[in-house]
Amino acid sequence: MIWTIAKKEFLENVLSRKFLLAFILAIVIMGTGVYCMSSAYKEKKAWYDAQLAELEENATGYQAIAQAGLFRVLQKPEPLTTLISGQKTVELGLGQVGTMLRGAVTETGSYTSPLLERFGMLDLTFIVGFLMSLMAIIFSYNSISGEKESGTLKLTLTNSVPRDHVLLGKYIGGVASVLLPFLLSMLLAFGLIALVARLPFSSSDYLAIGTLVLIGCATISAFYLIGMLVSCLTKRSAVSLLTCLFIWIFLVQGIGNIVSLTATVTAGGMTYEEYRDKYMSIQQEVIREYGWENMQQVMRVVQQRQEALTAEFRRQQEAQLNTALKMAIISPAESYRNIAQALAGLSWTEGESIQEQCSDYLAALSKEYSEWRSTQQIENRQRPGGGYGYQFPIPTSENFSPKSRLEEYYQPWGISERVGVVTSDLVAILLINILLFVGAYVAFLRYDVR
Amino acid sequence: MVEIRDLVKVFEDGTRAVDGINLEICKGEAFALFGPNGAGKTTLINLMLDFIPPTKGSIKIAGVDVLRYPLEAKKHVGLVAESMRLYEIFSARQNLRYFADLSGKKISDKEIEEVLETVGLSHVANKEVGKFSAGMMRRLLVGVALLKRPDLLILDEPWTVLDPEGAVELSELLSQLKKREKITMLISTHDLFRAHRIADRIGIMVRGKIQKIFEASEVRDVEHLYLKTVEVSK
Repeated sequence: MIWTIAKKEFLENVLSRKFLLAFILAIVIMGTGVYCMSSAYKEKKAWYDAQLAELEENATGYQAIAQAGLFRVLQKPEPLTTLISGQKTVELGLGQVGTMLRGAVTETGSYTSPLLERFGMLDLTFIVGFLMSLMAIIFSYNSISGEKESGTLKLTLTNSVPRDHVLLGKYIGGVASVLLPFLLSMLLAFGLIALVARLPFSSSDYLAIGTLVLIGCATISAFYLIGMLVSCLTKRSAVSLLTCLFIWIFLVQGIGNIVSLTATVTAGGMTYEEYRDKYMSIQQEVIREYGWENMQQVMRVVQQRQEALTAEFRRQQEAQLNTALKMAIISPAESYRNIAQALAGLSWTEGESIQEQCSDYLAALSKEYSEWRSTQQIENRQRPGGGYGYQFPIPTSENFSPKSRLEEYYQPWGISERVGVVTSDLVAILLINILLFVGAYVAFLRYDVR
Repeated sequence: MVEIRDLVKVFEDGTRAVDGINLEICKGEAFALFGPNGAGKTTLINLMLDFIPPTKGSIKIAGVDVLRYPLEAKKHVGLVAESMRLYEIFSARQNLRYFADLSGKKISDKEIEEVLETVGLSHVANKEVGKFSAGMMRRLLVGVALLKRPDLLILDEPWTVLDPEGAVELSELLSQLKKREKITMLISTHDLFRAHRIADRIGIMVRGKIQKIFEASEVRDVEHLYLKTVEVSK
């Protein structure tokens, strides 16, 4: 009987106009989204390859580093960004490299099209978190109350069908009908990626995509169950629709602002403007404190304080983000966005890991340079502008390759590490599904079908 | 066929919708329950189908205790109610197939065709139900109820909303079912004139109680009975 009801529910939805609308929207948005993002990825990749080639050509050996003055680390674009947006192709500047070989690892720039910056991309998180979640709500808001109004629920229950079978059948058929356009749009996306864009997906990328599709289904199911639960708690489908839309707006659109505001208030911390002002004023403060006599010490203290301030600012930002993410876990759409970005290598945590790896690399580079320099004789010779002074010799080591050293330190995360940082979101989506179904079940058992 | 003993239903707001009803309906009998709005007729039917629990009392249909074995009892009952409709995007045949599968009995396609023939809808079997008139929809609902070969057919306000032609067609169908199929019927209605032509007995229900039961053959002046009931209910 469950399958009979599921089949009826599925056909009833699939033959409706709202299904046609969902199908067309999903296909159009996913198709154009993947096409545009594939193009954007190819541009990023071409830029990355060009920069890398230039780096390899020019930046080998200490001499080249000294001449270039600034060494850069380029983050390789992820192929998964053809499905999930949010990444910047990060160019990490490793500060001034010269006689001191010091500097902070900072995100200094990226290549992105102004079109993408202005309009953004309708990616997989949009399809699942916005379009399909809305469709799920629209498909399910009247699944019970609508049938009560039309009298078909009463007719169904005059038969010897247990209520849990009715609910389960309606859930299975209803969710399947919402998932159909989603899965078809994903098939289209894969078709475009494989046949048109011909992107270099690895097996772990495919695993990540499979996980994203599965979690996407669970997210859509959660929204379907929200509609179903509300439908079981109301007698009129108009009331059910309004309630569902209110909940959907809160979970999909409103929660971002609310958790950001709450996290800023509860976790505290300075704003970016405050951080920037403090950062800029450190140098003057230190000069006032130590005077102009010992510039080497001044610069060292300035650097220490700026580094400490940056670390504090990042720690506060991370605390705010973690607080916000913990609160946003009540929204399956936000959890899905978090999971998708993590699996695509775009999470804050992975970004922090990359920063740390670059810092380690810089430290190693600096150490090696210092060791090498200590073996060199410092000459007191005439400067080009006149007068005499101590000068370090220009390094000419042929055995040092910054690129190879960087690869030694910068390892992108694997899928298990990426899943690891979003375990709570995964559990939350599954728990929300279970709780909503139990809630709908209890409400339906008590539902007045008269 | 139907045994109702000391049935009471008091709602949360204190309304005594059914107030100590005792009723027996024999196999093959058509019993009409007549009364004004708010008399408790539909509440009684909802209790018989376990849609709401009673405050007190017992109901047995075809020997099955409704309160203890509601799903088993429902196998013996077919319901046609004014508020009921069918799935409008499906055809008459598809609707019948669906409800046949839900009935818990094995019902063949041939039996579905027979039901379509019985309710006079064979010629529109593949038509979407959404395009049916109210009369056709009501006859199809009777068909759905007949699918599981019920021991008891309950009709709640069956003539309401129907145009005169549809009402006549439905009356003819119910008369045929009574004569040919010997189906036991409980008809809750405002339309005493139509019910009188089909029913064997007529119960007058007012304020949750069955005030009096008449043999239909004894009722000579239906209009008088109607006016008397209206007067009692005031």
